[in-house]
Amino acid sequence: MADQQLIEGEDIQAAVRNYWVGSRLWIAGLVFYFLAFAFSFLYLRSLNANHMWHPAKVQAPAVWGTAIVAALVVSAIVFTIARTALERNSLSIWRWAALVAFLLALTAAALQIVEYRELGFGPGAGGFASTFVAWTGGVLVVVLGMAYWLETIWATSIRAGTTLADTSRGERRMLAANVEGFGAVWYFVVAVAVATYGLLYWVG
Amino acid sequence: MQTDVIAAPASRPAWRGLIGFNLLTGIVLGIVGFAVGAWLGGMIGDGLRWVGQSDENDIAIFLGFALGLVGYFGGLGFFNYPISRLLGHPPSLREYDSEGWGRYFRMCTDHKVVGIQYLVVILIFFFVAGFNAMMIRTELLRPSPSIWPADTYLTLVGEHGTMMMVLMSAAVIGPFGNYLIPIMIGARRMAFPRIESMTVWMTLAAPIVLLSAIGLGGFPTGWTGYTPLADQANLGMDSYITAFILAGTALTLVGFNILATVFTMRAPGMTWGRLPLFVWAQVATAILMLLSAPVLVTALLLAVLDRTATTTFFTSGNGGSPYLFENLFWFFGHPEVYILALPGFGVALEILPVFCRKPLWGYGMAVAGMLGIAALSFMVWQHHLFVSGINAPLRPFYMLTTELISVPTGFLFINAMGTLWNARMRLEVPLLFVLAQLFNFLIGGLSGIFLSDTPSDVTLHGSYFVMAHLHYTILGGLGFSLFAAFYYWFPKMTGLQYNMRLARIHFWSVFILFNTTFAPLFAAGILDMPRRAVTYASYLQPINDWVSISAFLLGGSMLLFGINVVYSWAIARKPAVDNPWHSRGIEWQLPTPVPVHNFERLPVIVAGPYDYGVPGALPVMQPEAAAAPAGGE
Ligand SMILES: [Cu+2]
Repeated sequence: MADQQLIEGEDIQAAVRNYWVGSRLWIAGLVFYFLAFAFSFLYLRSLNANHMWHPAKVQAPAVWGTAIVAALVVSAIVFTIARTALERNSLSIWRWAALVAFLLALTAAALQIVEYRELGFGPGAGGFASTFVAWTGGVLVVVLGMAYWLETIWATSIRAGTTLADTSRGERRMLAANVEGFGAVWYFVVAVAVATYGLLYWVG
Repeated sequence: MQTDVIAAPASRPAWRGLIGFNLLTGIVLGIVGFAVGAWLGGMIGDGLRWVGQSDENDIAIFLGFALGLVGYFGGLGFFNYPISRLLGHPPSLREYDSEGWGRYFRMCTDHKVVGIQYLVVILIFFFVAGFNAMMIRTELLRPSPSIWPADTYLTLVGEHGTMMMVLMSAAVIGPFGNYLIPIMIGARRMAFPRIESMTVWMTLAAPIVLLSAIGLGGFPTGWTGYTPLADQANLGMDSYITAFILAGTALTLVGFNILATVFTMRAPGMTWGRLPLFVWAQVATAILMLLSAPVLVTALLLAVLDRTATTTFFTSGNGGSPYLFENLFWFFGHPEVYILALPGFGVALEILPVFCRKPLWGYGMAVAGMLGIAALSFMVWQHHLFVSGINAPLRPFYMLTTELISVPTGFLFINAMGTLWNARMRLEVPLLFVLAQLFNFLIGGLSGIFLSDTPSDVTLHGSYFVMAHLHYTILGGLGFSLFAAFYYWFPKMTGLQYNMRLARIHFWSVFILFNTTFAPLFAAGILDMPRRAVTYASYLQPINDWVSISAFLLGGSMLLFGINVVYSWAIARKPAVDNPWHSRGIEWQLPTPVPVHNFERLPVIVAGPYDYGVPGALPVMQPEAAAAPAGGE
């Protein structure tokens, strides 16, 4: 085969496909991970044991919540800009946009931690309070993991060279597949965060 | 080929080999991490009102386990690659694919090494948990507590149950799945080899963490960890929770990896219709693992929060509900039943045609059966809660879905019967175990119908009938298939023969003694003997004494197996022939031992795996095909 691209003696096709398949499988696993939180929310809410699901004094701070979700949504949008730039080979836009998307994800995580300190109720203040703390924490962990993933992609593209011409075709294909896979999971996670926000801050 | 990357120069003194990223470093850093975490947790707990008021600090224990595991995985070398990626180094596919002994004690991305590591881990803890069962049976020789007080007895039961569940979930898919799946689909590696390696070290850590419960006051809940008892239990509960989180994470990752591997790494010509049924069974299992285990992990994380951060998920007084845990647990717990059973069916259907010397009967039906079981098993979980006080109108639905599962399970039995029909069987040890597995699982499955049926479950729930039922499916079904797989693939995986006479004695003794041990327990259950209780009514003593003595003999027969393993593997080391069973399986066409990267050139698959005795059948693969890209169709 004339145009065979190798890493470590192996054709990269399987590795490229692994990004696609792996990211979709990861989404499937995450669906059920988040489903457990959603089930807890709906189950405890409908049982309302001892009328302690959501005592009136427990108020989720919507300002913080809005800020967190806004940071995540903007991160997803900026990431889309970065990804489009990479597809058009404009490397400098990709680098800045990917960095901003990464920092926004970290900002969301930091805001979440600040929110815990400003909560005004403890995790023991009923079913809603417990679910609120656990579910936002569950999202936080995943957001941090995704921030790590995005950082590795960004760092790889920085280290790979100053212009795309420096990198081999195989490396570029791997990078593109990695970006595509990350994007699929990131859009999903941000969508979950938006839905979570709706349930926790507005439905309650 | 990237071999011998880290092979040490011969002149280095032997002790130098102990320094570096390996198990020893992992253990040392794990202990250091635990100490640091427990100290930190102590500091944090002292500042918290609700911890300061009690004499137990769960935060210290959980933080100890968490940092201990960080140290353990760091010492094994699992953070090296993630850190190098953080610094922007390019992706790499694998590392440490070397020869030599050292690779068995470190992170190794050779799937065959991982398979052997799994096998050793599973065998060791199978004997530990089995010894535990012997202690349980010793106590039950008398109707009232004679050796251990009730709480110690409960801890024994919980340790046995949880450890067996953790191990048996990986019993076939761990050693044999990891070793065989890449070879069977014509690949050189798993899709994510570092994740693959990590799961085996998790599977080693989980039972050790679980055993630490003994030093922390034990835990009273059995393997199911029900709340609110779990919320109230002492520090030993933290060991259970951490161990099961580890196991659940490992299950998720194993499922993820196997699915990715089978989707992307198949050799040219390895169509879905040519996939060996062993692989299909692991695929169906992997779907269950990927989708159900995350729910277990979340449920246990909520339990962690209840025990450390005053959340009230599982206590009804403050807006929570113990049913929440029961539902989340069984949403995982029932698919778990098929995570246990399906790999065993894969082994059975893989082995049957080889020893019947005729094609497998009903390949498509078998695949449909496995996928059907996987799909249905998500819709049955509340049959575990029939007598818990759940909404009564829900019961008929769960009763019906549960009974529906016997249809796809029946498919697999029909496949087996159709293959056995008119076969000239070669009654070698692996086939004997498969036949016994089918027999035992049939009893296990039929007894399950009584438990899925709400009216009869009302009387049988929580009794030894349930206990006998689950041992018939897990030990009698999966356990026997594990032995079948071991006796079938041991010559391939180690290149050695085992003692055939001893293996036959093991088979007959274990088959007879298994049934004499567990069949009477159905009767004990019908006669109202409750599970997990250290006392029982005195009229049940004759049955229990019979069962205990039979169980001791069963344990002795397992020792025969252990002796055979150690003797054949470590002492006698008689080389095996390449393909002793005259199998068509791809793994048997490779040289023994299998080369580090399996195939010199990727094979092209040209025929199905089960065309035994078919005139003009092609060999399964052309080994020296042109170097073509990996992947399906
Ligand atoms: Cu079940």
